[in-house]
Amino acid sequence: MTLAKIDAEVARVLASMRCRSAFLHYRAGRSPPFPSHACLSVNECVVHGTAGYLERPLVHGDVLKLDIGVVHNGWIGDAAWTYVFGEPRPEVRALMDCGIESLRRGISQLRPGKTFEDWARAVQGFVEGERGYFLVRGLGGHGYGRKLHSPPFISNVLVQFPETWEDGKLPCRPGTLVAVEPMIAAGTSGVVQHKNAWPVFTSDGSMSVHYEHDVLITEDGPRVLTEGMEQLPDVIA
Amino acid sequence: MASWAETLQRTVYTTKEGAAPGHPLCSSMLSVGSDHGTVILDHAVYAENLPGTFERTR
Repeated sequence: MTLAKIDAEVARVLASMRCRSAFLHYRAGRSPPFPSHACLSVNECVVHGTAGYLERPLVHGDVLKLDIGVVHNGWIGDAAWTYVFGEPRPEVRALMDCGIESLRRGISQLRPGKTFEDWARAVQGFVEGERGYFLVRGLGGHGYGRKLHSPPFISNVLVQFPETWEDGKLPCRPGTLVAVEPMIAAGTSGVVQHKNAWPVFTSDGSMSVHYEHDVLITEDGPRVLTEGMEQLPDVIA
Repeated sequence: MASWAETLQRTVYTTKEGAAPGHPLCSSMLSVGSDHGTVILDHAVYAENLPGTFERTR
């Protein structure tokens, strides 16, 4: 199995469900148009891996972050989950479990009376405070709807200078659609990205995980629209 | 363990559910607004207790 084959299969499934990729040909900044239907990021690649960035076949123990964005009837769905080929090593399983639990704890804060800083406080407190892993800096969640990315920006960490994250003070208003996504590395909060390339890697080459849910904030609290992701086995034969 | 084909299909299907007005738990969306670019869905009405959306609809 290669990333190219997985991306081709994602394209086929999207078409069978009368959807199209929200990522294919997406442009951001000076980067070239995104070349793949899905983001396919292996091991030390945290996010934004392309179908062609890794040509070797995936092997036992590889950890794949599968991030898919769809356009369906003019609306966006955007979710990511981490899968592993074969039974994971204990340290990898622990990192994956940390990612899943951080997502749950953060989402529990997305309710009226809270701000997006409360999301970051919960996620960072668990990942870095309790588990000793590292949240990747500079990347975060976002509003979505008819566009893939819209305000608010949702940092996974509290920032040293609050004026640099104004959206953190925004109240969680019922009706708001957000895509929230902790990105966690085992050894560092730093990332590297080659010039004019999409994939983002941990700066120390350590393992990483990525989990993303679409959430509708309601008067009664968060509703996870992509909750079915949690019922999928994350160990792949 | 799951097979790749099943995992990919279910992952795409679940992501599609994030396209809110098409979510099977949302029986209606009466209006859609925005606040400084943030999408606001008003009056989302849910049909509760619908288990196994993927199994139910595929």
